[in-house]
This record gives sequence, structure tokens and C-alpha cells, in this order.
Amino acid sequence: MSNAVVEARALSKRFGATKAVVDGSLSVAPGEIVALLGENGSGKSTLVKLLSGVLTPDQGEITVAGRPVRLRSPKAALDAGIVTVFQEILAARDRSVLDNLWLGNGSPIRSRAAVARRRELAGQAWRSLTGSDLDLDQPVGQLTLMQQQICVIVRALLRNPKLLILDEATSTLDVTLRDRLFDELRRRCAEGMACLFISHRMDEVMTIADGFAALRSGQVVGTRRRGETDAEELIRLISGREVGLGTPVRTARSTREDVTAVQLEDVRLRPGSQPFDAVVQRGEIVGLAGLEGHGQDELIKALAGLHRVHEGRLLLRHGEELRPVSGYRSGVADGVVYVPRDRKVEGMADVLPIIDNYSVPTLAQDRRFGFLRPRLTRSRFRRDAATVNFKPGKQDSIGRLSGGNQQKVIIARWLAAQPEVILLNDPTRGVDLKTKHELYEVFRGLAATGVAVVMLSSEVDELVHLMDRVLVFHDGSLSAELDGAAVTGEALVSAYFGSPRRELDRSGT
Amino acid sequence: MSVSELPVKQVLSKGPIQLLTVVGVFVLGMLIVPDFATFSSIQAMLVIASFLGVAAIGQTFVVLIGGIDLSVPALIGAGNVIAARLAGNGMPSPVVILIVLGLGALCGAINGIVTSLWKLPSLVVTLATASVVGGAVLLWTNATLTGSAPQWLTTFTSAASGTGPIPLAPVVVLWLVLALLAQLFILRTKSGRQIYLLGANREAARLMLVSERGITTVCFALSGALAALSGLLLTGFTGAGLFTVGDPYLFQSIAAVVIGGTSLLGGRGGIVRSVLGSLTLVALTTLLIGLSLTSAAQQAVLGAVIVAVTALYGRDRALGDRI
Amino acid sequence: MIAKLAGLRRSPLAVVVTLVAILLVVNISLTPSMLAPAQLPNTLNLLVPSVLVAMASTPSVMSGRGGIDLSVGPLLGVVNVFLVGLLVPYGLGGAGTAIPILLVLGIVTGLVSGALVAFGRLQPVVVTLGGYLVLSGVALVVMPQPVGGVPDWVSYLSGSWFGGYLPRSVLLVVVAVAVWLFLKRRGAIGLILATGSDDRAAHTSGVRVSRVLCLAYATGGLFAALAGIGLSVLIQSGDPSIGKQYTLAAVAAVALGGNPLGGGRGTLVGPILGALSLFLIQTLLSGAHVSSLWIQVVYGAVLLFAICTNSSIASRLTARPALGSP
Repeated sequence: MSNAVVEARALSKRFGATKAVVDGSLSVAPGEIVALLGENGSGKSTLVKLLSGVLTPDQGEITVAGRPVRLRSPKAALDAGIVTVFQEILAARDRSVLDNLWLGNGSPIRSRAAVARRRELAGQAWRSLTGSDLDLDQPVGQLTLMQQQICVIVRALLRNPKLLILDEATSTLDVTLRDRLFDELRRRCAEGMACLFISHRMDEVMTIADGFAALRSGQVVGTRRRGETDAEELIRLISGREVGLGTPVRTARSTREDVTAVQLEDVRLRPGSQPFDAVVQRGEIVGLAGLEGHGQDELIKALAGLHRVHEGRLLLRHGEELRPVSGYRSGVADGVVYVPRDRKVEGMADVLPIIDNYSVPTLAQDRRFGFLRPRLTRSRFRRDAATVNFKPGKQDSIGRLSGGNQQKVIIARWLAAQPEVILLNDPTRGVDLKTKHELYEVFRGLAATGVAVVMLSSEVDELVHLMDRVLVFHDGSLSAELDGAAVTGEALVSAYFGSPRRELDRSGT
Repeated sequence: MSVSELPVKQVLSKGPIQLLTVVGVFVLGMLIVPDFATFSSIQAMLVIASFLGVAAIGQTFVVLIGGIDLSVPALIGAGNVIAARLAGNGMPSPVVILIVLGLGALCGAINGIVTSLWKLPSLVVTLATASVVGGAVLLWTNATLTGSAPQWLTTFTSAASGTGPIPLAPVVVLWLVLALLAQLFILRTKSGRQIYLLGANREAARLMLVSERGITTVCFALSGALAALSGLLLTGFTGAGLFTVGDPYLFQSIAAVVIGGTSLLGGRGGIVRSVLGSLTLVALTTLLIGLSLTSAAQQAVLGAVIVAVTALYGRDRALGDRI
Repeated sequence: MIAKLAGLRRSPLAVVVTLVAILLVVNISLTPSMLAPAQLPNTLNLLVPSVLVAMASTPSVMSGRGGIDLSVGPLLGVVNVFLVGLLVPYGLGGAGTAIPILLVLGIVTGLVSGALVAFGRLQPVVVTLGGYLVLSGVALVVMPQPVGGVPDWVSYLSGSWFGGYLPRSVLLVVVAVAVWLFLKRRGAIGLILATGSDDRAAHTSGVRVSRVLCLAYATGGLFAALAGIGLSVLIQSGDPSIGKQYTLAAVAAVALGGNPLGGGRGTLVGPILGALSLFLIQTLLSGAHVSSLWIQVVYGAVLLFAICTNSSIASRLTARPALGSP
């Protein structure tokens, strides 16, 4: 393709003995949205880093509008018109939204007129993407995770890229914003922008992409056009084998016990919100859903003892009786464990060995005569790692594992505490499809042993396929409680927007 | 699987460069400076290293949780003055030792509590307490040489004396035993493992049931007690109490930890590394004295060498690798 | 008005502003002569190096990575010793030659630290700790003993204009502030703060992070050189060991001024006021004829109190939705 905006030819990059990218070849034409597909560890992130100038290729060539370029730094890539939104939200948290939106962009001289002009452009860009306004002078650190994500996307758009690379930039967006982003992308692409889109969510990819490039073991193993392929084939391409596209794995009816593990009484999450009751039985998987920031996150943290609800009682089973949640530490002692949302910040210490990340909360188990016995730690790690289907490799530090494997280690950590209730805050975020399904199996397995699983999820497919029941929140109130077969994509989305609860119940059951 | 295997194992698996650095500096000294490696010279170097080494063990605990203890020199000075003063007044030595260790641990614990309670940078907190402690001690002694060392302490820290059958001064043996105990603490106790987690990721540590306040307090208290102990031991070496005896240890204790390869960012490193770091630093200083450099020139070269040595293995990851 | 007051109460400057206000009132009521033309130049000459050295520490702290320039104190000494011990004997002591040479000396020293941090990827504490030792050593090698004999322009700077109301040494601070405002206008300070807040975000946004770090340390070096000139004005001689003690005072001033040592946030006014309040504590106590050893105790206690209060304010300020993500 001679009219390609950006073309990569036979890029390769190795780290020591590992070949991260062997044959990275792809091209993106103006107006085109190409989805880059691949499991974790397939070399996607490395390829993105090569294209964005974060890493330089060992071999191969990148051309921009037909001219070969050497992207020695992110600045070089940005100057060439390649703008990347990275998987991790990279923003200067102490600086204002306005500063972040223009960070590294344009002349830094701050005349009054220039600042005013920037403020106006930034405000427009923000409004056009989100449909709402924001105080541009507050520090980014005070925004919600989703707003921070929007901030880095708007920053990229403000540069008027020739090629926009979105590396899992949708993972924290809720459905509305994701759709607005897609609209914006289509609008931009109609004006000639090209886009390289990366997401683990097959539904998103199928919605937005015009073309697909599948990456496996560092090699582009196939490219397809929209209309000449389907999700099944793409999954076959990236995994190299037959994998079902997440048919429901819901089998739990038999395992659900009629023993209440979690009971919510007259809970009001926020001052203005409606009170609600709910229960979670042992052996079931209950989903918490809603648009970003509508209360589900507050609830799961409150159950973990990390947040206080405005009003009402949260009761957890403790032996024969139900007791109010009293705090995080005592919660763990009572068998309530919490897997946080942001692995890197809250979930693990990435420079430390896997075994430390696994063992620290439960080290008391390995103590004999006051001293730890590493052999005991290792043997129970083997046991719990097997339960979550984690196979220890050569890596020592947890930071070198893929996101999915990190999550498995974190879950294994809490299995060691013998939980009765496990609270999962969006545990499959940034996890590839294959590992996602392995995690689903793990959650199922846990439920089958009588553990109550409460899981916040932002992914509709996951809610539909995995959950026994879903509690949907809107504006701090419970907007629907969907049971079994009533959990459908349409029902969820309409509940996201706060459709009356009763009506949905009727249509569901 | 005996306890004594542990440090050796760690040295071989994690610290070959540090070990090579010590050996390298030492070989260099043997080549350049006559009599560098005579037995008596090595004995003397080890004694000097042990004063630094004891304080550096404490500094390591603090650095492992991502802090830095600038009160080390003040507490060394305080330990030195208090020990000399009390012993000079005829107080029995065991009581003196307990008082010195207790006061050191108390000051350290205050550092730790203030740091963790208000979430403050330890650099400023320890700077402030150092100022208070230093002022108080100087007021007490009118900033003059004071007290005297008991006889046993002089022998204990004399390079010429041995420890039973071991031809090393008792203070050197004490240092190595303390290092071993500290290593055991850090590898084989729950609190020890929690130190690393706290240093590597505070928020994750909290969610993994690590008590930030508890661990921080313990680490600073250990640092304080060991600094005070180092000061007490120095009394034997100097013969009397002088507050400013601690001054060189501000940067030396940090340099020993850093040259050993413990990251100032926290979470990575260990006690054995700081033992090697102390040895490297002392061997290097001896080498420079052997080259008959003035103390000013020594200082300048030492500063450059600290940077150069750290550049060998203490570099952060490149920006591109952190994205 | 009330809103403004409330805003100030929540500002990181609140503690230091209050502290300075109280200390000023107490100081002036105890020794009203402090502001008299006879006293003012001396008072301010004493103050100028402390203020400048606090300013010198500011950009490196803002630039993050645990950045803190411990070498500013000895750099003061080196500048002083270079002037008196090298430039004057070699006939380069005139204002036209000496000032540029000294300023370049400061900038180059800062650049070296900055380059080691940025390109060498070394931890700033290690680099500037090494720098501390090297510079202290160099000062002693150049001038083993304190000697007198400063050029005329240094003596001139110690005087004052307008009948004693405007000491000339203040000029040095004015120059530093002007440089700062220029950099701010050019957006450089914003880039230093952004780099300090998240260097990866800055890097991927096309900011040349390494250059920004070099700039931060070089600016600090320039201010330290100005402080060194201020020190020469103050002591009217060359002294190789006096500069060192300014390092810890600079750290204290920055912390008192409410700039987080983690970088990414902060003001220049804060450290200046921090230095001022430390200075006022000193004059207050020495005015009350308290032993200089007491000063040290009070100094530490005030520092401790101020940072604890600062921290409680800061934690209110940056109160984030529970655990980072709602």
C-alpha cells in the first residue's frame, strides 16, 4: 500500500534472549481504523512502543507517508504525527488538566493570549468527546480514573495526529464514553486520520475496526478486512488454536447454597441516593455493574472495609451469625478478601519476587519457633498456584509477568487466607482473552467450593457470561437486580441509564 | 540449612558485583600502597569499618523502607558523649549500654512515628530531630570533650586485641554478629519480609496487612539504637566523649548503603550488601590515605568514586523501559 | 475577602506565611532597631545567602525522582573560595570578569549533577552527595585556610542605597527572581514540575526530560553561585568550610516552605519565606541572648512542627477519592 500513513516493515526487537517482536509488519491507510490483536505477551505492547518511539527497533523500517523515519524518542514520533495513548494512564497528577492536555505540545511560552487560546481549544476538545465540561484548573490527580483516561485521550487528539494509537485506552471508559470516543474516532478518520486500535474486548474491536492485524509470538500472522472475517476466525488467528468465544460458563445453580454470606440492609451509598437491600449467597457469583462512578465501586470497597457508605448496614457471615463490616484488617481475618482494581498501584509490589507478593499477608502460617520456614511458603504457594492455574516460570519478580498471571498470583495470595467472601474489583481489566477465561474458571471453581464471589465488572460480555446475578447501579442507587437469564446486554445497558427497577424485573423474570 | 549459610548464599546469588568491588579496591591497594595488606593493617581497617558498619546496618533498615536517616551522626555523637559521661561518672557499664541503646531506640522510634503518622519525608524529620538531639547534647556538655571510656571498652575496640581464638578485635566480631542477626531478621521473620513490601509499594503493602506505622517505627528505632551503639563503641576508640565525632558518618553511612547496592528508592537491597559497602568505603579511604592525599583531596576523590561505583550497578531503569 | 483567607488557609504556604508574620512581629517588638538604617544592611546581608541557597534547592526538588541537591552548600563555599583564592590572585577579580566566571562555574556544576541524574540515571541523592564531598574537598584544596581580601565590588555590594534602606546585596536575590520569572514565562518551570510529577508522562508527551532535568539542576547551580557571591559579601573574606552548613538549612527552608520533597508541586515563594523564618528564629534567639546551642534545638523543633502542620494541610488538599479510583 503506497498511500499508507504509517507502514512498518519487518520490525524486530529483542530483550536479551527473548525476541519480543520478530516480524512486525503492518500498514495503516488514512481514514482507516486497524485493530491490532494478540494475547498478552504476543508483542503488541512492544510493537506499539516501537511505533511510538519509546523503543527503537533492532531491525526493520518504519515509514511515514512513504518516507523512512528513525523514531529515536517519543518526541520524534510525535513530530512525525504518530500519537500514542498508552495502556497505563500517563499523566502528571500534580499538574492541572490544562497543563496536562498541552504537555509537550506546541511552544511553551505562556503569553496571556496563548494560554486563553489553549484553554478554549482544550475545553472544546473535552466537550466534544465527553459532552460535558470540566474545571480545567484542577490537578489531574483529583480526577476519577475514567476522567484521567479521557484526559490522556484528549491530549492525544489535541495534537491532530496522523496516526492515533490507542493501546487499551478504552479499558476504564464506561459504555457511553466508549461510544462517544468511537464516534469521535470515526469523525476524525473521515477527515483522514488513521488509527491503530488495541483492545482485549472483542465486541469493541468488531464494532470499530475496518481492518485487523493478528499478532502471535511477535509476528503478524494475518491481516483481514472488515466483512471478510468474523470474531471466531480472529480468535483462532491470535491464539493459534480453536477457542470458543466465551459461551456462557454459567453453571452455578447447583452450587449455590441458601446461606447468606453478605447482607445489605437499607444501604444508602451517598446522601442523595435511594436505600436498597441485597444479599449474596455462598457459592454464587454476583456482579456489580454500572457506568463508571455510579456507586458500584463504593459498594465493593465498603464491603472490603475501605470505604464508608452514607447509611445502612453491611453484614458479613461470621460463623453462625452475621456481623457488620468493621474494617479491612478484621475483614481479612474474618475471611473477606479484596482484589483491588489497579494492580500496579494497589495490588502488588512489582520489583519484589512473586513469592513475596503471594505470601506476605499470610506469613504467620509459615512460622515455626518464631522464624519463617521458606520451604513451607514454597509448598503452599505451589498448592495455591495450582488452584488458580498459574505455572511459575523462570521469572523472579512479579513485574515481569503478564497482567493475567499477575492477577492469578494476587488471587492465589488471598486464597491462602481461606476466604469466605472474595471481592474482585474489575479483575480482568487488561487481561487477554485466554487468561480471562482461565480466570473465569478459577472464579467458578471458587464458587463451587462455597465461596461467595462479588465481582465488579465494566465489561458487558463478562457480566452476561459469568454472573449468576448482577446488581446494576445508577447515580449511587441500585437501578436493577438482574437474575440468571435476565442478564442480557440490553437489560444491562438500559439499567446503566437508570431505567426503573421494577420494569426490568418484569421483563427479566 | 544452617543460619550461617544464608548471607553467603545471598552474596553469591545477588551481590557478586559488590563483592568484586571490595576485592578490587583491596587488590588495587595491595598493588599501589606498600603494607596495605599486612595483617595489622587489615585488623585496623576492620575496626574502622565496624564503627561505620554498625551504623550502616541501621541505615539499611531505613533505606529499605524507602527512607533516609539523617539523624545517624547526631545519635552517634549523642551515644558517644552519653557513654563517656556516664562511664566517667562511674556508672556500671551494663547500665550505660542499656541507657545508650534505649535512648537511641527512643529517638529513632520518634523519627519513625512522626514520619509515618504525618506521612512526611524522613529526610526532613530526621534532620529536625538531629538538630534537637544535637543541640540538647551540646547544651549538656557545653560542646567540649567530656568523660572517659572504661578500660574494657578500649580493649574491646583495639585493633590489637583478639576475640578468644579469633584474631579480630571484639568490636569487629560484634559487628559481624549484628549483621548476621539483622540478616536473619530480614529474611526469616514476618516483619522482615514486610519491610521489603513496605519499601516497594506502600499502598499495596497496606492492602497486604502490613502496618506502615509499626514497621516504620521498628526500622527507625533499629537505626537509632545501632547509631547510638556505634557512638558508644567509638568512645572506646577515642577515649572520651565528643559530639562531633559523629559528623563524618552522615554521608558515610548513606554511602556504605548505596555502594553496597541497596536502592534509595526502597524495597531492594539487604544487610550483607551494606557490610560489603562499609568494607569498600573503608578500604578506599585507607587506599587514599596510603597515596598520601590530603584529607581535602581524599574527600573529593571519595565523592567522585561514590558516584562512579554507584554508576556500575545502582542505575535506575531507562525511561523507555519503565513505560 | 473571607474566601481569599480560606484559600490561604488551605494553601501549602499557610504555615510558613503565618510563621513569618508572627516572627516578624515578635522580632520587631523585641528589637525595633532591626529595621533601622544602621542595622538593616547587616541584617539583610546575613539573610541573602540563606534565601538564595533555599532558592537553589528549589528546582531540583521540583524535578522529582527524590531529587534534592545536597551539593548546594559546598558549591557556595567553592564559589567563595574561587573568587578570593583564585580569581583575585590571578587578577581576574574585577566584577566584569569574576561575576560571569562564577556564574558559569555554578551553572556547569549544576549541569554535571543534572547530566549524571538524567543521562547517568543515578539517584539524585547519590549524585549530589558525591558532589557535596567533591566540592567540599575542592574548596579545601584551593584554599586550606580562610584568607581575607575581597575585590572592591564585593565590598561595594555590602553597602546600601537610599541612606541604608536598600542594601545592595538584595540585588543578587532580584537577579535570581528575575531568572526564575523568565524561566516561568518560557514554560520551563511548568516542564520541570510536570517532569517531577510524572517523568514518564512527560517523556511520552514529547518533553525532553533529560534536558529539563539538566535545566533544573543548572538553575539551582546558578542560584547557588549567586548565593556564593552573597556569602562573600557577608563574610568579606574566603572561607573553605563555611558553605557546607547551608545545605541542611536549604533543605529545611524548602520543606518549611511547603514544597513536597517528592517533587511535582511547589512554589519559589515558599522556600524564600522558609529561609526567612529560619533566619528570624535565629535573630530572635540571639537577640534574646540565648545560647547558640539553644538555637539548634528550637530550629529543629520549629521545623518538625511546621512540616507536620504542612502535611495535615497537604493531605486535606490532595484528598483523593478513596484509594485512587472511585
